[in-house]
Amino acid sequence: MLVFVDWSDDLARLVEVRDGLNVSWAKTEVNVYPEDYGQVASVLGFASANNLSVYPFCMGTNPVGPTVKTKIGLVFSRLNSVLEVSPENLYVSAQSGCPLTSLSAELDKRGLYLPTDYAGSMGGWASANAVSAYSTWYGMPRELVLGAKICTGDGVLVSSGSKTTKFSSGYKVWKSLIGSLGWLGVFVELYCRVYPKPEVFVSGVGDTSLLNTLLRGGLRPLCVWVVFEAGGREALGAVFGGYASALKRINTSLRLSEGILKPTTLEGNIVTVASKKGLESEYAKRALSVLKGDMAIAYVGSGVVRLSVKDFSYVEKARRLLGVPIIVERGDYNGDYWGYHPAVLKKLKQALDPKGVLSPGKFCLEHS
Amino acid sequence: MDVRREVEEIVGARWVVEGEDAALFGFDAFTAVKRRPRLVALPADEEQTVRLIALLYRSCTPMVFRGSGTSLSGSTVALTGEEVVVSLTRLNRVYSCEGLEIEVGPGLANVLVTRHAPHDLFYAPDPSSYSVCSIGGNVSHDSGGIHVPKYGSTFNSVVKLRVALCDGSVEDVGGTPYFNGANIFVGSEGSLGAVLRATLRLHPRPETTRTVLGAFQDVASAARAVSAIYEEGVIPAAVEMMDRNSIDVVEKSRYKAGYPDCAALLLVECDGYTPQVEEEVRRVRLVFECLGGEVMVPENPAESSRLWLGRKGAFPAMGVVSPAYLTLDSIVPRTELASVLEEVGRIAERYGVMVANVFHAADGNLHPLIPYNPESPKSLENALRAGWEIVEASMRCGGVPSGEHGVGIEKARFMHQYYSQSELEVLWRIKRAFDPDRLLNPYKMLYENPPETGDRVVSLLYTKPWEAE
Ligand SMILES: Cc1cc2nc3c(=O)[nH]c(=O)nc-3n(C[C@H](O)[C@H](O)[C@@H](O)COP(=O)(O)OP(=O)(O)OC[C@H]3O[C@@H](n4cnc5c(N)ncnc54)[C@H](O)[C@@H]3O)c2cc1C
Ligand SMILES: Cc1cc2nc3c(=O)[nH]c(=O)nc-3n(C[C@H](O)[C@H](O)[C@H](O)COP(=O)(O)OP(=O)(O)OC[C@H]3O[C@@H](n4cnc5c(N)ncnc54)[C@H](O)[C@@H]3O)c2cc1C
Repeated sequence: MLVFVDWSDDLARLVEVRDGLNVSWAKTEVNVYPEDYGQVASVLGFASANNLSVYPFCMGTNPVGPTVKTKIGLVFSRLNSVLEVSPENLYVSAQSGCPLTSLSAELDKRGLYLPTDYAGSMGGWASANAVSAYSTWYGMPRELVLGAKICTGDGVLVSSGSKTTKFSSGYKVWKSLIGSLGWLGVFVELYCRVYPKPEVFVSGVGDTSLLNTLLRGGLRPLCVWVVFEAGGREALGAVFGGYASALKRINTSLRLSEGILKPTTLEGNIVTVASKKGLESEYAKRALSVLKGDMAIAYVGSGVVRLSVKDFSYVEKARRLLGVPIIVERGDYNGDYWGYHPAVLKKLKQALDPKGVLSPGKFCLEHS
Repeated sequence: MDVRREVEEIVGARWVVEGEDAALFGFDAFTAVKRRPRLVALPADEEQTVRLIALLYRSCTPMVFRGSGTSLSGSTVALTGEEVVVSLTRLNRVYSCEGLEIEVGPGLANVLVTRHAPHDLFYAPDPSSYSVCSIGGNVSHDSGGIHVPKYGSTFNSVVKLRVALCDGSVEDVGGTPYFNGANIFVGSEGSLGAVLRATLRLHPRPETTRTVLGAFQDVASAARAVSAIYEEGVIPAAVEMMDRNSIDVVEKSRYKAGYPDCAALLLVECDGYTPQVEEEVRRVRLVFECLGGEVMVPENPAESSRLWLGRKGAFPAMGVVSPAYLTLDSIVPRTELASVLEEVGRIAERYGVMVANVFHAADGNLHPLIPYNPESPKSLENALRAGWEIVEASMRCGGVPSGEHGVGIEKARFMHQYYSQSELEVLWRIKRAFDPDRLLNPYKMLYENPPETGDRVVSLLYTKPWEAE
């Protein structure tokens, strides 16, 4: 049943309005379902003019950080088309609500791929700057998103970046939105770099003594990740991509056994540690011990380690001891989820969401 | 307040330059505009830099941050003459190197990053100016180079930055998986703050590196070959194209490489795991042959180096035909290369200029080199106008004004064409949030009203396209 609140009638003139969300990761009074970019801009313009808070989301597979409670949920599920796939120029453009699974299927038909193993929407993927096993070679969405159409918190649509491989023609506004969890602005359309799908992927499992060879030996694995368990068990997974003839002996030459190391993602309470690139394993081991975690995954080369933990009792201690940003990614925490509060982000917020309507409380500036 | 005296107190008298000598800091590699700055200050370290910026800001003094001064878009020129140039070349320390990261001062020359890295790692972004250009400049223009197709531009190698803001505060940004404050500084042309330190990503050296040269009798086939390489599943480390004019220029210069006589050549580099590289080379060769190209695969590193030296020397080699030239850098989708190059040919003919094209073909990043006579204002204006038409032709086919050299003053006029008014206003909001008094690199990238300099070239550069006669 629709909950009527005084402003929702006006909102309903702009866009379809439905019941809000009441789940552990977000609470919204109403949800709106824009069907074009103009509607996204109108909703945000309206919200800004009326000081109504907004939580932008899509499939809800990746709620990072603290739970937000807003008046409006801005849902991108109807902006879900793949717009253009260019095998010659190696880019794809898609609306932000496009599920990564549909996108991958579309790319697959043309012999292409976007190196990530996640589901969820394009907008969520970019907004979360989600790490994956592929980040070893290809990096994160920060590296893969070439440009975007975005909308500021007060409803201005901006094209930033382009479909070209490089861009030095003005501030990289879209890059600032990557990883900002919808707090600085929203994506309505994204242009991403894609790659020719390798003829074969060869995956192997081995022990961590191979790490240095894989990381610095010039062999160029696409994925390397190491899983550490609380009991001391550790294992390494690697994936190579290329021509069948070229890769036929790679596993044996490295003494890797065939197979895929699981898991590549985690469940439950999750903490992210920003390690130095190339030292993810060292940081994973230390963090696992300090945080008294259950399991840690070091996404080698990405600078990211993720851990599942029973609770967050040791987060502050780990921040002190490890001296790197440690983020409470998922779960209820009554402390500071982020542990970093640069004034630069405050300035960007001021510029891009001047009324502060987007996901209030998602990223806290008060600590600065 | 006597700003000059206070600047001197911060950096020491020896490190303040004025008068005639300051004129040396009044231009960069976009030599069409030269203006003498009010003063040049060369701080020794981060602390001096931060104090200097705070002082200048407090006293409403406009400032231009400067690295090695190789910008091709005129982005270090002290346009109004009121600016103090803050040269960051003395901040050139290597602070640490751990894992795949190296932390350096902004004044360090690009080439020295790899030299300070462990022997099995290297720093990938390599503008052709790599032996002199600084990391601060590379970050501020998001510079590219030959190896972008595989390793990305400077942006992809920036992990963290330490920045000095106009209020005298210092922030470490980046190095975080979520909110990343470093992203906005890359490509911001010194207009939001100064880069004091950069943590950069290093890559493992490839097991094998091979070069393939393809010589084509028509530009369209060479352009087609660029996309065809990718269709074969090859991810090349580099794909550079040179047209007949640029080959001729190189062959007449001291960078002579012994290139074959052809309409266009492609220089491709493949690197990585040896069996994979061998297969890539085989496929590149096949692509070239199928498109009528003559193929050369150098058998030894010395021969490869010679071929690449010719490409890397193509800009300075222009000296054999003219004492000055413009270098534009619009970027187009790869599939548009052939038609844009044809258009470049028509534009060159219309303006009666010789345009040499030598560029990052895999990125679709054109570099038309347009010679002019620096003694003749007419010749410069002619070259500028030809260049503008090339940028416009690129934008018409889905391209952008600058792929790697930045907007600076050279392409400031295109901002009003490329962006809508409401988009520009959002860029201004960012500018104002970081620089409320608009004292950081004024008139570069963004401007509302043209600067009043009395200089005809500057007026031309700041004439919005629709205001031109
Ligand atoms: C089984 C499974 C496991 C996963 N595990 C992980 C994991 O461990 N780590 C990880 O990083 N990712 C993980 N993901 C990744 C997730 O798929 C991606 O981050 C992303 O695609 C989420 O999309 P979504 O639509 O579900 O985003 P949502 O959960 O709806 O939103 C994610 C965040 O992005 C913001 N957002 C969403 N859309 C927009 C938009 N258009 N504009 C601006 N902001 C927006 C939201 O405000 C929110 O902060 C997992 C996905 C699945 C299916
Ligand atoms: C022969 C030649 C070949 C070239 N080849 C290429 C190429 O292949 N690819 C390419 O991309 N470019 C190329 N360039 C252009 C140029 O070298 C690059 O743009 C380079 O990054 C500029 O570095 P710099 O140290 O000279 O910076 P400068 O010219 O001194 O400054 C450039 C910009 O950066 C700002 N800046 C400098 N340092 C700082 C700092 N510490 N903090 C904040 N802002 C700062 C300045 O204000 C200015 O806006 C070439 C230039 C020449 C002359």
